[in-house]
Amino acid sequence: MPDPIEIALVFSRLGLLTFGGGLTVLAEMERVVVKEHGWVTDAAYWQSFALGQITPGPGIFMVIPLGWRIGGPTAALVATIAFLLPPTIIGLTAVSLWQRVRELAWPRAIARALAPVALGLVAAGFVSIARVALTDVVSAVALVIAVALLVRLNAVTVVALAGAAGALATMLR
Amino acid sequence: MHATDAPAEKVSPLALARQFLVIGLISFGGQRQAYLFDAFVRRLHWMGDEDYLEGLALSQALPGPNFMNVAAYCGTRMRGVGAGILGAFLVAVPGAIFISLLSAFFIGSIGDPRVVGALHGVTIGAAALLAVTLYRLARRGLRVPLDGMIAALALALSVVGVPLVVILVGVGGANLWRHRPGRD
Repeated sequence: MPDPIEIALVFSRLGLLTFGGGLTVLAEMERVVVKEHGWVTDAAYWQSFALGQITPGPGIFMVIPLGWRIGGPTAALVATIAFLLPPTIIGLTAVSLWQRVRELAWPRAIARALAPVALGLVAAGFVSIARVALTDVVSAVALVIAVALLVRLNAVTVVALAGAAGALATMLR
Repeated sequence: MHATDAPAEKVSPLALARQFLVIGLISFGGQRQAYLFDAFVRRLHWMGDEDYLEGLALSQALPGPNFMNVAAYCGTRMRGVGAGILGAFLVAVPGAIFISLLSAFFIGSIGDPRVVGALHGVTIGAAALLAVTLYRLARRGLRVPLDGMIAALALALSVVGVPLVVILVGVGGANLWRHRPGRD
C-alpha cells in the first residue's frame, strides 16, 4: 500500500477542489490517481465511479472503492476522511454563518445574484445526466413517462420503478 | 404563497432526522439534492422554493458534495446548526456503509448486464426527477427574462467546460452589480 500520508495529502487536495459539487473533480482525480501516481488502472477508476452511481448518498463516495483498490480498507478510510472532512467543516461553518447574515443587504444581494447561476448549473447537471441516460428512442420515452409519473408519485418510487424497468428490459433483450 | 416561504420551525427533530435518513438510504442517481427538494419542498412543504434555491446557490459556491451541503442548509434552516450537522451526516452514512460493503465483497459484480440495465433505468429516473425539480425552481427563481438569460449563460459556459469558479465569480459577480444594495 502507498504511504497513507501521501494518500491523505492527495485526497485532501482533491476534496478542497470540489466547488459546486463532489464530482466536479472527476477528471482531475483520474489524472492524479491513475496517470500521475499509477495507484489504480483506468478501468478500476471508472468501476469505482459506477459503484458510486449505483449506491445511495453522495456520488463522490466513489473514493471508498477507489481507496479500497489503492490499499484495502485502511486506504479507503484515509482517502474518504481526507477528501470529505475539510469541505464538510467549511460547508457546515459557512451554512451556519449564512443563517446569521442572510437577512443583511449584501448577503441577500449575493443570494439573488447567484440564484439564476445556480439554476443554470443544475441545468448543466441535467445535460450531463441526459447524455448518459438518453441512449435511444426507448430511453427518451422512458424519461417522458418518468416525468409524468412524478406528478403523482414520490421520487423514490419513480426511480425504483425506472431501475426495475431497466433491469427487466435487459433480460427481455 | 408566502406561507410556504417561512421554514417550518414546528417540524419535530425526530421527523426531520427520519426524512434525512430515508433520503440517505434511497438517493440513487445523479444530482441527489433533488431528493431533498422532492421531500422538503414538494411533498412536505417544510420549506419554500425560494428558500431552497438560496441553499442550492450557497452550496454551489462551497466545496464538498452539493448533496451534503444542501442537507446541512435545510437542517440548519429548519431547526438550527445541530440539525444541519445531523442532516449532512444522515444523508451520507447509509451510502458510505452500502458502498463499503460493495467494495469489500462485490467489486466485480457491476459487469452484470442486469445491473448495468438497472443502473441505466435509475439514471433515467434521476434525470426525470431533475427535470421536474428544475422546472419548479425555474418557475419561482427566474423572475424576469434577464434571469433566464443569465441561467442560460451559466448553462452554456458549464457545458463547454468553463471552470465553475469562473462561472460563479464572472456571471454571478456581474449579476451582483444588478442586485447591489441600494439600487432598488
